[in-house]
Amino acid sequence: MNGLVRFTAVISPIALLGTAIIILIAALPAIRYNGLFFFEHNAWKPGNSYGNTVVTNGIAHAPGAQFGGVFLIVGTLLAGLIAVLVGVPISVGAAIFIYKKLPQKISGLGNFLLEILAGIPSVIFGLWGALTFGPFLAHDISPIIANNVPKIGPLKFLTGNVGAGEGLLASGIILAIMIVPIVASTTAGLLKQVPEGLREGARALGMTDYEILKTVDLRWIKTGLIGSAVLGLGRALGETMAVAMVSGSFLGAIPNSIYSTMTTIAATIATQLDSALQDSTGFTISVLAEAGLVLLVINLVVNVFARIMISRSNKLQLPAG
Amino acid sequence: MLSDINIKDQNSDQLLDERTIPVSLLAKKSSGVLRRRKIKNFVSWVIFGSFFILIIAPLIWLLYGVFKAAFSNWSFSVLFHPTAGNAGGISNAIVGTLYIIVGVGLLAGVFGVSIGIYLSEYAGPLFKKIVGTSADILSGVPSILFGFVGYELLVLKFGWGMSSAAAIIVLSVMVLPYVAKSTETALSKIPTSYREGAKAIGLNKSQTVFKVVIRQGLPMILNGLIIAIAIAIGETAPMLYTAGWVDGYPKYLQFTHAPLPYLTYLVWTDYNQPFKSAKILSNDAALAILVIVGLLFLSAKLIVRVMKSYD
Repeated sequence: MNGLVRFTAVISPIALLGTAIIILIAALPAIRYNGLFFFEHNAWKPGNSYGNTVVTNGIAHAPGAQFGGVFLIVGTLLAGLIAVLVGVPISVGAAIFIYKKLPQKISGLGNFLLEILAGIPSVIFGLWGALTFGPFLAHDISPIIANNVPKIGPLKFLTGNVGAGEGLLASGIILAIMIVPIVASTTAGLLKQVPEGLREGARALGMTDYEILKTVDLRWIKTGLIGSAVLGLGRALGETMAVAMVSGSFLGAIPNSIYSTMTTIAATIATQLDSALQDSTGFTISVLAEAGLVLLVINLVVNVFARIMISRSNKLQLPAG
Repeated sequence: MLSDINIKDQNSDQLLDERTIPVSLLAKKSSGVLRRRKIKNFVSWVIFGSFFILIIAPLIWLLYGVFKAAFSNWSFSVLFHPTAGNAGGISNAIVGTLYIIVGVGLLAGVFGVSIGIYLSEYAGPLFKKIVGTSADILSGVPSILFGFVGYELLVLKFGWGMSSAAAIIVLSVMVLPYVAKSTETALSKIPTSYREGAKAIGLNKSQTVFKVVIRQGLPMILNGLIIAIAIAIGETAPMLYTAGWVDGYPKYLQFTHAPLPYLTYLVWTDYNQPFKSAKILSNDAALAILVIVGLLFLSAKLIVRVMKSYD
């Protein structure tokens, strides 16, 4: 029994390694054919699938195949950035409100609502985003921003044609809602670790709740908060279906305003499966694997960083001052 | 506005102070500071509270939207007819989703709970750290990548084709860290006195673990497993690469070379089709998946409550 249980415990390290290796092997043809072009250009041309197969450097592909993935990487990072900028402050504030302000009984309800939010499938968020929230945004919110922001410097990115609701902003906000549960629950976990003695000491000094929060709690969990924000970023970067339905799935160019249609790596792997299967050489699938490999690397870096920050926060010494 | 309140409060404080203690300049000043601090405190909590409302509002809006869209064209016949192209019903997808519930329940249940038991009761600190960390990282890997790996390994390499076996294995690996973690947490909460008591009446280690510790932790273990299943049936991305789709019912007890219909596929494929019947299918499937996920959540909560009370 002991041996069997011990064996099962190594499944997760093996699954992790296996995932990386299998994606790498699948991506090899694309990596060799695309070379650095993939990281320097914007292009999504699967080539003529009815033409004769061309072989370049031993790699079979459809004639005219050309793939540059800069727009995928930029799109993924931009959507993740918006999600974090919008989602993290709201999640942290809400978590503070639920666990530090609400009475115990109602706090359970707040926690329950977070659980429900975490349990809603991403395809449902996508459906709601595509049919309800996106159009609402384009109709009622985006024009106000686009018409009132001055066209200077980086603010130009906030102006322009607001579109019909599918695009970068809608994707970012949907992602922001979707990362709320993980950021809020991580924040709650951190808040619970703040030593009660410190809080009592601050109370004895006559501090208000807000001052205790600012000088004791937030200072204590600072490192962990960065970790939870990055954890949220990791979730946002890898989210697939909601983005596939709300982003507009526009391939081949970097979004030129916050309202442009765009796509992310994860969404592209989902939406381009059907057309990749049309490519009899299997080269397009390999390109999707290359994109997936980039996503995996970004995600591993982000997640490991987040875990380090969160575990560091647990070992913090008493803040000086 | 704010400064008006400030001045008024300052005056009333002054009146109060004059009756009790002689007012020094310092005291007047500090009472003003106190007001400001209290207002700052109040404002900050109003902001945090509004953040709370900001996350609750989309939740309610979304649930209302899905229910409204589904009920505005609802007919019970969709529950009894399989999909036929852009029309028909969703019964085959519901059956397929039930397959996933059973399959993931068994696979992730057996392996995830074993890992959790091992981590909590047997593992040494180093091993625990390695497995725990890799489970943490595994839980952050985007689900679409699991789908891709399942496609390369199970669908192509093993030659299973788009099938229920491929889909269920991929989903199980995906939720494995969650099940393991919740099992570990559940067991680590069982008081040491239970283990000591078991040892005192002469039970060996595995008897202690399997007859005493697990029995006590069972409600929380099941709770974690059911929520993991709920997460699994809500997935779409990995299923696109492993499950495929068929308009009819899934083949009975044939796990490879037979595609599996599932609810989230309908939501994804039919939501922007030009046919009204397709949009209805999409909305109905969204409602069905929400109801099933909701029932799973409810049963998870009920299990904890009921089993605890019989102990």
